[in-house]
Formats: sequence, structure tokens, C-alpha cells
Amino acid sequence: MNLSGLSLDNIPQFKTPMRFFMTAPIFGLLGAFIFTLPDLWLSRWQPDLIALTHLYALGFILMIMCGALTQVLPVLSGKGFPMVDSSAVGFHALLTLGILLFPLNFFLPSRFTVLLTTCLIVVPLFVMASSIIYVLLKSKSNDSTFAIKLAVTCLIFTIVSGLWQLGSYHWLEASVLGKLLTNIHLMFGLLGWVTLTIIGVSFQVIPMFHVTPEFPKWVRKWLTIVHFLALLMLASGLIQGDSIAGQLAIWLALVCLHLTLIGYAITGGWLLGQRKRKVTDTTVNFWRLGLSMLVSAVLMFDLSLLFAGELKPQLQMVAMLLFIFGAVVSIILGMLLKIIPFLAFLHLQQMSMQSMKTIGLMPSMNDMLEPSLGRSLYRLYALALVFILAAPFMKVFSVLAGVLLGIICLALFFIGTTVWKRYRAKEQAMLSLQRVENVSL
Amino acid sequence: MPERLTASVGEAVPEDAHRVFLDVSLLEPPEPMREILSALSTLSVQEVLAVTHRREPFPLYQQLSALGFHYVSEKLKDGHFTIYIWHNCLDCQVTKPQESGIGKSQ
Repeated sequence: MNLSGLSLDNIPQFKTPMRFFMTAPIFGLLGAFIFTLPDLWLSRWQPDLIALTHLYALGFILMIMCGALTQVLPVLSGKGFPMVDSSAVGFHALLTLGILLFPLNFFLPSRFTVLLTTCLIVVPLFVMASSIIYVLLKSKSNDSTFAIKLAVTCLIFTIVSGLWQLGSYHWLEASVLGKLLTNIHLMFGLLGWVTLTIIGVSFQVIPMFHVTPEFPKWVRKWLTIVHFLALLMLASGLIQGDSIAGQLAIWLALVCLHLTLIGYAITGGWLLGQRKRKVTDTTVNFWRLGLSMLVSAVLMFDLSLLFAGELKPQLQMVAMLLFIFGAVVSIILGMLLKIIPFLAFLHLQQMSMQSMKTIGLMPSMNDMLEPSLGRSLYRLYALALVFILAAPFMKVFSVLAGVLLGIICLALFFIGTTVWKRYRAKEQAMLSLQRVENVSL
Repeated sequence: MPERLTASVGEAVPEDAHRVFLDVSLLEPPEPMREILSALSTLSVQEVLAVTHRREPFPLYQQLSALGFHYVSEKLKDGHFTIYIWHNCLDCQVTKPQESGIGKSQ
């Protein structure tokens, strides 16, 4: 980690990432409602399902990743986003409005809604992508920043393929590339942007937060680049279609993706097993759940290839759910439980440095967030996951999954507001003490 | 104690000062920072805090000068670091010696 170049002045105010973290559960709640709609699981092209996917991909996953990157990137690269606190307000507002209106494209499609939501989402995303590239180009490269550069490249591919798809749907008679664009969009979004960002960040946060050995050097060096090249190869194979070269590229890419995804999950799980202090930690449980679900998602995808007929798309749907909710959302929830109280601590600690007396007011992580709240969230989420995975098969499971996800999102919102209130209370106490000190001087 | 490799930052550690040892190498963030700051709040001017850490706490370094402390960091052969922290002499006159709550060297 490039902490030598880190200035605490580069780190945004506490409210900047919290704005993103507190918005995500609201979109999660909207997504939970969609789980209860009839006909949701009829096919992957069902408008409700596409709306649900985007509410979670953009409103929950992307929203939290954006908030986390405002804090994590300065730590990883030693450089902060320029004017991060003010620019994040506009970025967040545009993105929130865009995501809120985005489902209209599937429920009430029109060219106007396409143009409006595209501008509201794509403009801030391009600004974010270019800001990340700007920061990374100005800083010294390491394994994590390299992974994030690849992830941002995938984000750009995701946006472009999504735009192309929307454009061809609304302005051409028929999409030139049809389902191919959807697959490429999905692939670069989930396996590229989301996966590479998680991998890059985990290279630092797993050893740092959980006191494990570092990821092996060769894993850090080769994992992300092989994964990225495999995605490019898969895209090229999909474009070439049924030709021998195309099929060869697809199979070779799938072998590489199996190696990178399963290899990453095994390495991450092994590192967590090497923790020097085996204390109970809900974030570790979420990591283990997420990594095991990642392997399950890959195996479920393989299993789906053995079947034909109606079962095949259903199993592929389960593989997708295993990936999004089993792996990605689990890991993100685990990281949030660690990051939110940590950031509150970090900002209070900066404030406490004004005087040795205020240092005595510094809370512990457990003072900011009781471990029991995290444990309850984990148990609830593990139960919700069972219903989410069963949702495509029976309506009642889908409704139960929606109800539980709704409760989890409310709980996440409650956790965020609890830490925020405690942060404000400590901040006020420190300011009061500093005022008393200044008067007495 | 592993052999020291380098003395990387700051001035020479006061030889005659009493050493207070603190090992934060197994603690998860932000506990190392909290423990170090807590120890510093009770460190007397006659003492040097010797912190064993698994990595260099760069964010802490930025704050130490502002708080009136000197520091020296040494990389150990096992990859850990020892960071020696003591009061800046300019501040000695305003800081009363206190008894540290942390285990002291024998």
C-alpha cells in the first residue's frame, strides 16, 4: 500500500462516502419490492428482471463502490480526487436521479426516457471513470491500482455496450448484434468492473484489516491481467460466433476465467484462514460466504451447460444470482461493516490530533458499531440468500426473498445512521473540549 | 529480538531515556493507531515509546510533529518495524512527566 504518499488532507469528509452508502439501501429496498412482482422470473429478458438487475448493479453495488473509491483510492494510490467533496455532491445527485428513473426504460419505454436516463447516468459515470484514470496516472502504480485501471477500462466497455444496445433498440429496426451486446455488457460489467475492483481492493484490505499474510506476489502480478485478457478473448469469441476460431477463443477464455475466479476465491479463503488472531469477525464471515458463493456461481454455470431445455436458463439464472447476491453483495456488505465505523474513527482521530486531551475521547470500532448488529445482519442475509437462490423456481420464495432483502436494506440504513449519529456526538464532544481548552489558554 | 536493518527517519533515539514497549503488530486497524495515541497521551518526557508494528504507520508520522513528538523508525529483519517516539525537547517545559500505564522495559 502506498501510504508513504498519503496525506490525510486528501481524504474526503466523512459525509462524502456516507452519502453513497446511505443511498444504496434505498435502491436495495426498491429492488426488494421488484422481487415480489409476478412473472419476474419468466425469462432473462423480462423487463422487471432487467430493472431489478440494474437497480442492484447501479443503485446498490455501483453506488457503494463509488463511495468506497472516494476513500480507498487515496489510500491505494496516495493521491485524492480533485475537489472530491464538492464534485461528489453533483455526481451523486445526477447518478441517483438517473438510477431512479432508469427502470422507466423497461416499464414505460420511450426515446425521451432513454435520452434522459442515459445522460443522467452515463455523464457522471464517464466523469468518474476519467477522474479515476487521472488520479491513477498521477500516482505510482501498484498491483491494486493496476487492477482498478483494468476495472475502469471494463466499466467504459460496459457503458459503451449498454449505450449501443439501448440505441439500437430504440433507433434501429432491430439490434444489429442482438443478445450478443447484452452478454458483452453483462460480462464487462460484472466480471470486469465489479470483479476486478473487488480483487484490486482486496489485495490491500484483506491483509490490512484482517492481519493475514499478503496475497502471493505472483497472484497479484498475474491474476488481474489474465482475467482481463480472458474477458477480451471471450468478447472476441462471442463476436466471431460459430466459427472455429470463435469457439476456440470462447473455450480458452472460459478456462482462464475458471482459473482466475476459483483461484482468487481459494487464495482469499486460504489467507483468511491464516489470520494471526482468530477473533470472531462478521466481515470475515461475509468474505468466506462471498468467496464460496463465487466458486458455486462458476460451478453452477458449468452445471447449466450439461442441461438443455427449460432447466438450462433457470440454472444460468441461479448462477447469476449466486454471483450477484451470493458473492458480490455479500463481500460488499462485509466490507461496509468494516469501512463505515473505520472511516468514522479515521475522521475523529484526525480531529483528536488538535489536542492530546481529545485523544482520550477516541472511541473503539466496537463503540461505533456493536458487533452484534453485524452478526444479525449476516444471519439475516444468509437466510435471504437461500430464498433468493430458490426464487426462480417458486413464487413464494421470491416474495420471501424480497421481504428479507427489504428488511436487510432497512437494517443497513439503520447501521449507517447509527454510526453517523455516534460520529456526530463524538465530534461535538471533541469540539466542546477544544473550545474549553482554547478559552482556558 | 530480530536484527535491525535500517534506521530510516528522524533523529537519534535518546539513549538514556526510559523505554516503554508497545506491540501492535497483531491488532487490526484502527486499533494500532488508537493504542499508540493512547500510549502517547501518558508518555512522559523522560520516556521513549518503542512500538512494534507490522507496517510503517505513515499517517501517524504526519501527526507526530504537529503533536510535538520526534520519531525514528527501524525496519527489522522479519519485515516488522520498530518506531521510537519521544517528546520534542521544545515541548518538554510544558509537559509534566507522568507515569505510563503501559508495561515498561526491565
